[in-house]
Amino acid sequence: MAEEKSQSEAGEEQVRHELIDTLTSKFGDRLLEARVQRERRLQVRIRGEDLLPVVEFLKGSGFDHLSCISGVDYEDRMEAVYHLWSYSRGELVQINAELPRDKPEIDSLVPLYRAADWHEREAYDMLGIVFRGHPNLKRMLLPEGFEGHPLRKDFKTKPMSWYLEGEAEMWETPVEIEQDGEGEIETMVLNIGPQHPSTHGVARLVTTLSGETVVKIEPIIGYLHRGVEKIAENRTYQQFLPLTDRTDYISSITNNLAYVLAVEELMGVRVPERAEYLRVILSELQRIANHLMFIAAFGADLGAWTVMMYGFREREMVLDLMEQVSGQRLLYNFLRIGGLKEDVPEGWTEAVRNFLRVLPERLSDYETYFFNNEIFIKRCEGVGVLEPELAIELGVTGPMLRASGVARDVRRDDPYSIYDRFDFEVVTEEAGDTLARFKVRFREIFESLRIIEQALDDLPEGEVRSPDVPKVIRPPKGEVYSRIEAPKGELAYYIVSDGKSTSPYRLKIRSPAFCNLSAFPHYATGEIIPDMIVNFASVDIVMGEIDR
Amino acid sequence: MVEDLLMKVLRGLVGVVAVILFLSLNVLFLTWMERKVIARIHVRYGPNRAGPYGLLQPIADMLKLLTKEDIVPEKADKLVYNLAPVVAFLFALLPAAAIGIGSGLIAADVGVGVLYITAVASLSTLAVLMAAWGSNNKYSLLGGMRTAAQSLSYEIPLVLSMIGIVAIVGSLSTQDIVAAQSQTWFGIIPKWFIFYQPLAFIVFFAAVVAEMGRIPFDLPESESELVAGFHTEYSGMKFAMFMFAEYIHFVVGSALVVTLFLGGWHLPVISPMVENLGMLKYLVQVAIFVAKMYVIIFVLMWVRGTLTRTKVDHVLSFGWKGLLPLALANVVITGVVLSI
Repeated sequence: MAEEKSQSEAGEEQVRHELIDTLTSKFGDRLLEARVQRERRLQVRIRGEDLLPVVEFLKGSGFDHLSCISGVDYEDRMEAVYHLWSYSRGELVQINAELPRDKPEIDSLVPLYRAADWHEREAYDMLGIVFRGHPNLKRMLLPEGFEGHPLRKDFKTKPMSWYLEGEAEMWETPVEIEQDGEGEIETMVLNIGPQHPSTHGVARLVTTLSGETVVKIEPIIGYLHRGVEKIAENRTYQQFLPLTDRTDYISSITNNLAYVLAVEELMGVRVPERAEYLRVILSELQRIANHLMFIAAFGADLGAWTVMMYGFREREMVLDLMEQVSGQRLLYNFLRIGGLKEDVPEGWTEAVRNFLRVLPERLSDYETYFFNNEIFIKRCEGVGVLEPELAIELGVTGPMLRASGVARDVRRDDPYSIYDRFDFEVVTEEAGDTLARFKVRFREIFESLRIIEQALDDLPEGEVRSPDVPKVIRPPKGEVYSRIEAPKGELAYYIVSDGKSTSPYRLKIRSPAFCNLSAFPHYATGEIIPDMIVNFASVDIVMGEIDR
Repeated sequence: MVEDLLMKVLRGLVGVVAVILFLSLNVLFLTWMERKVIARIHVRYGPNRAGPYGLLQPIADMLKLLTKEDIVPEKADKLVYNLAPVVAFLFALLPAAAIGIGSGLIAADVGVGVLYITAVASLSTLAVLMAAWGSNNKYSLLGGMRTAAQSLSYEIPLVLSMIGIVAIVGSLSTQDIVAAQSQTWFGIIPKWFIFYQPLAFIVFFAAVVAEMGRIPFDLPESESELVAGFHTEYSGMKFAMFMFAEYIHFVVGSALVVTLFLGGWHLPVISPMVENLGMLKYLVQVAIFVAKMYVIIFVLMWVRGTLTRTKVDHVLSFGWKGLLPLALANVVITGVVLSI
């Protein structure tokens, strides 16, 4: 990674790239800027009205995964920022579409990528960018009736007293709930959540039922919205780090990692080898903990409380390991910009090796429990089938995508940290149903164990914190999009630095569960309530990360 | 004449009190046992604060539920809503009257015993439907509909699986059925109906679990889907009555299995030994019966700790396409064998 950075710093303008050449010849003056940021990262700057032809061309050239849509308010202009990843080329292109600030309107990408739906709604909600032709452009995270767009630089937050002294009205519900229909098919609207045993937090699913059959699902999110991205603009780079823990709060190490990688790339800091290895070990432990938690919660949703307890028991071992290094059991806040907080305690690696030995034994019980259990198989097999093409189009990532037979993993396709040094299999299942999603996660635990073992074998001695990181972090002007393979899928931090401030000018979190959840209504309709519950559980969501 | 009537009334009253006492004590113990057994399966400790081994936990639970606020939803159908727990409790108690826990130790030895039990037991569906409708809650309603569908599908194989036994015994009385199982082969192997009617036993057991609404058939109140099903809106004492009714079903169901298939209060070797011991005989009989009942109860708890919940359509198709043909086949086989 360090070499990539030096490369990008050294010759930003000189690097030629055939795609950029084609783009330049095709669009000519309409391209305001086209350059290679670093290896596997291209950047294109255009005017808002040219978006559709450019994206159409890019989609034709193999950019099939719409990773993220966000926006930045530059006070003199607005920018809609698109990140497209090509699975076939292994490259990411960032499109900055400039918009006039007084009338930020741009064409919607929904006709090209269905994944754009929720992303555009969020950008509209947060920045007030209007996406022309969007089928359902309304607020995403904030309630309908909220005034203003919080991520605009001129947004003034109201004082707390305004909320406390009753001036705030109760915002109306963000959906129009159809009355129980009496048409040809009599339907009933069932509000599942925000308080419901299997919404894993405060998700709300407005479900239209015909009998027990689910006709339509509309997920409503935002109940846990804390404005993390807005807070980031008012915190220094170091101060924001603990907040990343609190997005996906059951896998905080990977959140830390995605964020520190982004800042390090902005600053061009090189991380000591030992820290890189420990980061990988910790991330994979975190992945195991996350998947165990998934198995536990999945069991609970199926009424298998024994598995719930088993899952927590095994996860406890990971928590113990984490506690030994960080002193915390949930929100570790252990990674630092430029390395780790401190070295792992003495004997910790032996404890990890012991864990590597014990876990597979314990997991063989799970195999008996699940895969020899006819009721379990019957409940999951063939339920909620997500076709691979649809999965890609909906921007699904992580285990959910791999369960549809698409072998995509950021760790392998777009290696970060030192993942290119390890030998591991990208686990896939062909079926695309809930059982496949379960199996993928289950098998990934074993791959993570393999990675940890290799990392432990090669773990070098030395520093764990780069001496080059100044006390006051003020990265040079620039933009960075750092993606990692979080346990739930592709987690990315898009950070814009203005070069002057000690806090990010704009920070956007591309949350995997957010995108995966947006796919949920597409494959879960037409089945009955019990199926919907296992389908929902198989997304593996944490609302803290979805609502941010 | 008057004295006769008085004696009858008195005997009836004693029976009623005895039944309620027996069931209540068992239910109290069961709530503790269930929590403890499930906890051990879950690798937990279970209740261990109230009293030794947490044995006073049921009492603490009762006190908690008694003192809790009783919430009635604004838009509930008040009469039906308030009546449902009482009805549930009542109909849960009724079948117990016709089950004996020792020879002669029965509240009411009805001639049509088994028929009466199934008839009354199926009435508890009514209470669930009342609760579901009265709560004016969609989760409750869905839970109630599921209960109705489920008990409809399982009542039939349940009754059919008993026909074989009734045909062999030639009586519907539970006392007669148990008496018919008192013999042994070679003095050790009991002549229980589980050995005569293994097919019926399987069908009956599955159907009874479904009737009790326990995992894997706990669809009416499957919490991950329907929050708490038909009793979502109930709190405090009304909720307690539903829970009580549920545990009574548990006891009665297990007692019924013991009565019909496991020889009731008979146990080879021991039963003949205590035959002439007067009052002690009854004590031993009750002990044997209760012990057998708890074996069944333990198995059911074990099942709960092991299996996942099934899906509503699977439950129905299992009932209609699996259990019903089996039960019918059993009736035919029994009929053929008996007529030879």
